[in-house]
Amino acid sequence: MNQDSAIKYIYYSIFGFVALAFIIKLFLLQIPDNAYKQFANMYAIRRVVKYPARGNILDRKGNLMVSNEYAYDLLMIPAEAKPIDTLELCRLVDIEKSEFIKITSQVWARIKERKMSKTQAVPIAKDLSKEYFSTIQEKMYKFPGYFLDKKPLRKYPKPIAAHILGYVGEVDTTITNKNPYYQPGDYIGISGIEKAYEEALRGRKGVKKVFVDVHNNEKGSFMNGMYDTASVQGENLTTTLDMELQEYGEILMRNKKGAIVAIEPKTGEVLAMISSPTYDPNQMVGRNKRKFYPGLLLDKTKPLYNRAIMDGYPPGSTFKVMEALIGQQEGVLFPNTVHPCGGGYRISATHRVGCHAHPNADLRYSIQTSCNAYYCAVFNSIVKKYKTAREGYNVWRNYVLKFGFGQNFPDSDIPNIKKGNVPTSDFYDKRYGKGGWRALTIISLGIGQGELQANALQIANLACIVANRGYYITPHVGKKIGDRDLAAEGHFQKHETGIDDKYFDIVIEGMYGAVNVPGGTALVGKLNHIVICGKTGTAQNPHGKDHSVFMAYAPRENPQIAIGILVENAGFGATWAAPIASLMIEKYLTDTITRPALEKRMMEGNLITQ
Amino acid sequence: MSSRNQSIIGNLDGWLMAGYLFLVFFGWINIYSSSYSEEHSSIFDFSAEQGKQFIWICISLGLGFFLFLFDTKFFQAFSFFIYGAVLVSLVLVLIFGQTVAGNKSWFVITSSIKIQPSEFAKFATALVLARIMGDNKFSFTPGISSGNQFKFLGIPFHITKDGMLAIILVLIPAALILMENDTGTTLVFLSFFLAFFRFGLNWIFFITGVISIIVFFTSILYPVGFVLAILALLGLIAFGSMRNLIGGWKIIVLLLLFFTGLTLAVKPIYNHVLKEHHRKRIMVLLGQEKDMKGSGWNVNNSKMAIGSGGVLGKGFLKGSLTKLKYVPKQHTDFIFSTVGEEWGFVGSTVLILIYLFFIMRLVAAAERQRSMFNKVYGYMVACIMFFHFFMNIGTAVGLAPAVGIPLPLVSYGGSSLMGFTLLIWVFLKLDSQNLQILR
Ligand SMILES: [Zn+2]
Repeated sequence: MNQDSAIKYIYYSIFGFVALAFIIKLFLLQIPDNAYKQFANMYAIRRVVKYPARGNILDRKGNLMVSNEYAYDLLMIPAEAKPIDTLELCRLVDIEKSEFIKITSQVWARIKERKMSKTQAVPIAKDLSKEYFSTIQEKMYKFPGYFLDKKPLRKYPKPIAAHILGYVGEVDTTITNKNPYYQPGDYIGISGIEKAYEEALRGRKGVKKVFVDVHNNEKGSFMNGMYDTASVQGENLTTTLDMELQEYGEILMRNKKGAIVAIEPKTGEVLAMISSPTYDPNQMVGRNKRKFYPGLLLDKTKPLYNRAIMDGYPPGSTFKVMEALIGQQEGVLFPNTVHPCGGGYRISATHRVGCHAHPNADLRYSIQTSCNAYYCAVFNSIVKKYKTAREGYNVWRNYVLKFGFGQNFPDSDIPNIKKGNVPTSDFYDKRYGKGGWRALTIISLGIGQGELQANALQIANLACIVANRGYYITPHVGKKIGDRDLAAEGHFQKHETGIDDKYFDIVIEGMYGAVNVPGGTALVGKLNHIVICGKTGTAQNPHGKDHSVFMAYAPRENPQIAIGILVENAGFGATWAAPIASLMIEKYLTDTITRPALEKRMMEGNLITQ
Repeated sequence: MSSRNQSIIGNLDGWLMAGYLFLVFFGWINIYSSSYSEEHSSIFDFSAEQGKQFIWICISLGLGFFLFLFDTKFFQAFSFFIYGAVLVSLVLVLIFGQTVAGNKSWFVITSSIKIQPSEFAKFATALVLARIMGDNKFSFTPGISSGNQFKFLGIPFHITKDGMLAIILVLIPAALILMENDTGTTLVFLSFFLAFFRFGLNWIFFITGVISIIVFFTSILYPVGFVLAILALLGLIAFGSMRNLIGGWKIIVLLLLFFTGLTLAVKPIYNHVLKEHHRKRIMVLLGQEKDMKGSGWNVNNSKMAIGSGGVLGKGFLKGSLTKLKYVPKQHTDFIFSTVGEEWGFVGSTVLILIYLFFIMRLVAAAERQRSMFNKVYGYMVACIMFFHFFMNIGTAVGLAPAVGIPLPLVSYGGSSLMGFTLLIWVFLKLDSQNLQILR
């Protein structure tokens, strides 16, 4: 037994020996001033986020519309920041000393409240251009704890298409709370194409952990890059836009308020989307944004507003084309139907919808001459076909929705399209009481007025439907991501309106007449070598001069382009909208302008200051 | 009832109790430090490791006091049952378990509650070994009558059949855990052999074990012929001078056959049975390769963090490398790197000394047991604790191969804490009733 219990000392020896070995090893690791110790004092590990450049945006012909340019942020690491010549630093990066003090004191306050870590880099000055960089870089040694961080910013070779391209900006907390990918300070597409194709364009940011010495020089990657994630380059996006047409449209629309949308009918590809007044997209980038954005925001002409897809305007007489199609489909209207027009349409003893002087019209002529009385009668007969006004109205409204009005094309890649307004029967029930309204009560809908609201995109889409004789493809702006063809992948659907092919002949004939036959409302838009079919309109404006509306497509056979255009306060559709659309069509189809005088008049026209 | 409770408290080993509480508490605050982040800045943040560990500590203390309600006879009587149940759960985990960090050793109950049966296998094995080795007739060494001697191919070994049974009872759970791909915990079962030494297991088994390890590694590095030549030489020496000591020429021949077979088998095993990461780990251990992505890096970074601690350390919650999560697994297998960085040489040494004291106290307590069952069990607990201590801190300071096992009571992990609480508190219970056993 004694010998047995003596064995415990062998155990004690083994345990003691191991503990001693550990203590000696610890001593060697911790006490002498060795590499292990120096390492921790000399180096810091910094988490560096590598932002890949956003993908370029190209037009349909491969021309560069949006690319990138590098800019620099001045960052501070609070834990490493030493007292510096603040004034010199502020002068170098072009900020006020008071601003610098404000930023840094906020940072220290947050650190004190334990809301952020002292080792986290905070931006002091952002978006410094290359010119700043070269002068600052050589003086950075004077500012320990500060360093410059490179990042790509958007650059627009041509100052066009600001609205549809959209812009990129810093994420706010609503985004960072929703999507963990984004960290405060990250950039995201805020509007337009930049928003719609954010994920493809942005690529994926990478995170790299690097050792940095006291001068903030990178000293190699941390753990051999074990925790790094590689950044993935953003993909290039080819749009359906035609840069030249876009630019031409913007020139034509200078000093006018309004919008143009041009679409390739058989594909639904948006060729141009112009909203005027516009702004130089470069003004929304980096430091420019701070300079120009407040002004753009306050501008009474609302240059930031994309009028092409807004709610705003009654579609006016362009609606009559659709009215003619619905009437035929419903079997209440035939090519030889004649509705009398004595200069207007009598609603009641005291009220009538006015019209201009012209001979009594059949269907074709009613379009060509845009007779109000005729379409009041057509609307009346469509609604009256059914037992109640409500039932008839709902039938009519369903057609209108199928034509793309009152809806925002949910499968489109254009963000923030407004629905416009096609009132529901409930709306009229509420306004006039149940059963308190008839077709005549709401007769102005028949000529595209009243509560109706539509935008240039929807009007251009109506032109597409006529050009396609009954259907449209969802209007869209994305063509290819990298090499992937978006349409081929089935992103954009074909929508049938339910109007039979045969009913289009007479309507197209009328639209042909409107532009090409003497007496037509849009004769000013006639081209000798290209057959344009079109329809004018005037959107009533209770606040001032009426808006000029026009829709068209060309050529008549095998249509290549459909256009919807609205010019605010321009009066009758033929005066401004039709000539501009005609010039756009000529530019797109032939690339030459045969009517320089008309072009000059349109370009120089100023409808804003009047 | 109350008088009985008083006697229990009165006989409780205060030093062991204090040691247990200190290690658990010290572990907890280091887990807090190593898991600390801006989002999880409270020690009671139950979504972070520190908060979860607090819950596990509460549960473990509850478990400990619960164990005190049992009579010591319970553990003796149910040892085979507990052992069997653990074996069943080890088999079940192989079938239904989930793989966490490469080990198929977890029952996942919820995403935050996972149970690792292998942590309880140590307890069950210790218990069952105490049961059979605690028998008065048990002995590793065959007596003169030798009716109990283990024989193989008619050759008498330096071990009894009972002794052989004890070894097999260790090997079964070890093999199952090895199949779970958990090499670290498998190696822990070697600690039972360390305890066997106290109870008379012949030293030839240790020699055989050590030579086997040497043969294994040298066969990987050097040509088979060279290793066999060395073995032959050793055999001749043994034959010439130590024949009687070893137990006759038959044993020597058998041992030589065994080593020759092992030598021939090593290369095929190394190349075909072991996985790439095993091979890599062996190469790193042998100094043939620097593994800068896997365990080699972990050890390197752990040494960096410890080294940066200096004499007094950077202070609680002030370890910059700890904060950066510089050392992987720093709240589990590498918790000692946090201790080293934040508490420095002084703090680390104190922890090592307290650990050493705790294990030595376990041995001392085991020695004073009147019951053989208690004594065997106490040694098992001490040896398991020591093995973990040796491998864990050894890994963190770069003195032992990185096998990835926790530092008992200190590292983060519910299963581990519960497993060691079971081990230790059952012994505390046994010890508290020691004096009631009549000699
Ligand atoms: Zn008329």
